[in-house]
Amino acid sequence: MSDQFLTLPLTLLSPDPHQPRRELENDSASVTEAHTLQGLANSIREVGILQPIRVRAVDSVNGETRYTIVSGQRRYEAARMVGLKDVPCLVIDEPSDASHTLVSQVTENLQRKAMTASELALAVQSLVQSGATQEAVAHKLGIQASQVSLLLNLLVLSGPVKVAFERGRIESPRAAYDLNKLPPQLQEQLIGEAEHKGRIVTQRDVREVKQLYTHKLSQVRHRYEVPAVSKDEYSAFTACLVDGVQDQYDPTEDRFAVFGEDWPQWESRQTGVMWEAGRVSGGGVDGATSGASGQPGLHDANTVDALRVRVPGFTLTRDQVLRLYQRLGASSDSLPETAAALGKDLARVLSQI
Amino acid sequence: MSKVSPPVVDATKSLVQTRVPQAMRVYLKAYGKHHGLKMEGLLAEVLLHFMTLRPDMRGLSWRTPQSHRTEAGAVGGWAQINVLIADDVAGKLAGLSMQLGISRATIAYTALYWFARYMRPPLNPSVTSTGIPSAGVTVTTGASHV
Repeated sequence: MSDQFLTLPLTLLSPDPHQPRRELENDSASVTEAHTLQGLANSIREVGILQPIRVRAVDSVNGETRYTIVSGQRRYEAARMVGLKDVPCLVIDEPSDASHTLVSQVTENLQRKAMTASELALAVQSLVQSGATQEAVAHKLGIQASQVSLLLNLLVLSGPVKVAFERGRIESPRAAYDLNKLPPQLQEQLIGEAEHKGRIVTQRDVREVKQLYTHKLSQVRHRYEVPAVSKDEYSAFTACLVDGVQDQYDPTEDRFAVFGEDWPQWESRQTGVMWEAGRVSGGGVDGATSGASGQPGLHDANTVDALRVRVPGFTLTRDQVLRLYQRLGASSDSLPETAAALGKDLARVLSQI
Repeated sequence: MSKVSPPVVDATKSLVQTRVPQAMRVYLKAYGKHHGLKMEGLLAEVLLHFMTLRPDMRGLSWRTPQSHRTEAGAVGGWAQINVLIADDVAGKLAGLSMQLGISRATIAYTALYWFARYMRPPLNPSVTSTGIPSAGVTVTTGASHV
């Protein structure tokens, strides 16, 4: 009798109580850190069981032959999780010798070579380039979507980090990715130190160096430098400034006092807009200013003020409109309430000059 | 009877409490992180500048913080800020508060508002680093203000 392929009901299979693999759930050495039983189940749901489960016939109950799993217990458990009724099996014809079975079970796991992270990353890239979304690829491979983006990030590794990662000198893809974002000099230093000590670069090493680097960077930054904010954060920030309270305040002097004489240069460096003396305070009606109007960011905050009126080319507060009416000799007794009506009325007054 | 260790208290610091809109807190924390400062350090620095320069005497209005449970008025509501700051700064704050008859929370919030709006507001992300506005977005540098 020789080995034969059969599709067998799951109910006829039973795990080998002497199975050397005790931990079914996780494979800590996995490059994706996602070789969980659930991941395998997801993969089986998507593409089925690609490799048949090796089983051996043990006994017969009521005319039904029962089988013990020789190798493929994770596939068996995952198939149960998915709810499969039948699974492809390779029924082997070998003696029921405990030591022989154990050797074959250990060898089966020992000789398997996992794909390297780089190989996996290239495969993932091909799938994504073929038009599949990252979520779909993750679903098909039975890994998390975040792992897919992490693998794709590995493709941007360069220089010493790429070499060290491919040589297995960096603990994880995350550590390699974070290290890649640091300056090349620091990368080489960290990798060199780890090699000198005969150890690999860990996520913790990278985090510590990154913190130190960030701290040092913060010490040399000019106080006028600001972090980048997203559009959402910026619009939420400008919205929270609207509180119905009006200021007649010119911040120019205070900016010089707080940030020093060179803040206008930093302003230009960050925005590309040349600051000119008088911009912040200049042009006010009766000396009144519109706050930090010299700051491009703040202009938007001002324009959302409920009391402000927008007319072509100008932005005026209600108080400024009142003073303008007085100066022009126009009646300000029955000023319209809404901003739009006030804008029209102002345009009418201006046209009569 | 087991001995209970007393809580560790830094006797050189005092508690300052206020509330700020959540979006402002997010920005101030990011600004602080950018410069290696925690909220404690940032608030102490801002308060010191504020109490030295006194922008409230030159047109800045006081602003009263709302309850941290308040949803209205700011996206994400208001966030509570409890920080320990150096005694000398906290002492000056208490003195100013008594002198003006304004709560410490109001002074602290106005100082943070002043810093975040007038001293160093965030950059509009629509303005690129080269100063060229993104397509379709009109950005005024403020020169057109009257």
